Amino acid sequence: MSEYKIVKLDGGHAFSLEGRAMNVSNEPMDHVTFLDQYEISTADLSTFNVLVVTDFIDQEHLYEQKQVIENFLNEGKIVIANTHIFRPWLPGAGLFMPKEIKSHADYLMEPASEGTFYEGVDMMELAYRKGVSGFYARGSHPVVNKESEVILQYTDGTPIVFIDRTATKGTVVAASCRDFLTYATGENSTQLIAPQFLAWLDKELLRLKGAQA
Amino acid sequence: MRKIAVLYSGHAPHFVTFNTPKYKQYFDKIIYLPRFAEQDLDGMDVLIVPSQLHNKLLLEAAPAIRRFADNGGVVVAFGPQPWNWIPGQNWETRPTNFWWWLEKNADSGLRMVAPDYPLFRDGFLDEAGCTWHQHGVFHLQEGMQSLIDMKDGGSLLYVDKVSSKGTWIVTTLDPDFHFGSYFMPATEKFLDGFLPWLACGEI
Repeated sequence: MSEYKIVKLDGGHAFSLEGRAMNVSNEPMDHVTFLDQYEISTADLSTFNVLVVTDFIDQEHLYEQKQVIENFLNEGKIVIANTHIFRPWLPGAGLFMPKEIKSHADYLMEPASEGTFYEGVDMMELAYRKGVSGFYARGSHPVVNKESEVILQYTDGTPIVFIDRTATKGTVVAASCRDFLTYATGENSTQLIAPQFLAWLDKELLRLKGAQA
Repeated sequence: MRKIAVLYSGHAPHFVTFNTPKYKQYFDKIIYLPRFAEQDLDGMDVLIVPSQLHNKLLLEAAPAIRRFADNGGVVVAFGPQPWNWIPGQNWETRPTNFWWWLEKNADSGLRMVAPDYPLFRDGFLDEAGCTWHQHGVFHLQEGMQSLIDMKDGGSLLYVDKVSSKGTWIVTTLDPDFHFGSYFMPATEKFLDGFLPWLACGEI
């Protein structure tokens, strides 16, 4: 039985109809509950312990509702941001800065810590699709707290995915890359990301439970 | 110069596109869609309705947008349109081929059918500036003019001067999204030409 109960904000936009376009996978997400983005302040979030924010979410609104997000985190829960943040609605993360690109190799990445959801993922397969690089991430969010754990970075050390456990009583995953949950299928090692991410969620939720006890 | 307003969803790609200085200078108003009111359009000549808007908010704003066109305004609609709100709208979703340019004898599928339309004739845009990928096509009613067709039928970009007193410019292209997500250089070429045309060109 999984610990995670995931709620993902739905942008209500054209691409959300079929989860198509830029997603790696169009697999159904039975383990995820979708919530209209404008219901974040009125919906009962008490049954969820993971909130996922991706592209196409109104960040002006998220910023107006930042207390909802902070409260969610302070209940010992997890917020995942897979987007480019331009309003300070997420504790522990700075605002998005695009990567300066002089060559396609500037998009190359490397894991920055062991045993995370990138275990076994070939970094070249993550950076390139059909010979084109830059699909996974095109910039970064500055780390606010130096205790944050960077788990994926560009080869020049710029963080792409980091985890903050100090800004609130919960866990923030700030990620300037594509939606972890969609990397579930595909023909290469990147399909490991979604299942390993879900396993990581379980581990992290148990850790948070332990910290609260 | 025409006065241009644009609807703003609050999401990251729109934030970047509409606040990039070379584009922002063309907008007299950036209207945050959740607070849209019809009087926001007073004094405006052009309204851009970008792609990927929240469906409920779009459909709530649609009657005011149609009235704007009925009163002589120019309305531009970008991107896939799975919800009916454009006069005479007939949208067909098609699978997206992101990789057509890697195929042997690569063909984007675009067919320029109105090279003499001022947008192209006067040098604001060319076919290459409209070429990346598509998410579907529009099928047109009598009186609407396609500027670019797709080889398998349907229109990529059309102008409708018959459904209202104003003008509807409708395209399946979504440069507002791609430019703002730091993706696809062709979309920058498109906006570099299209916005000056909207402001100063013959429509």
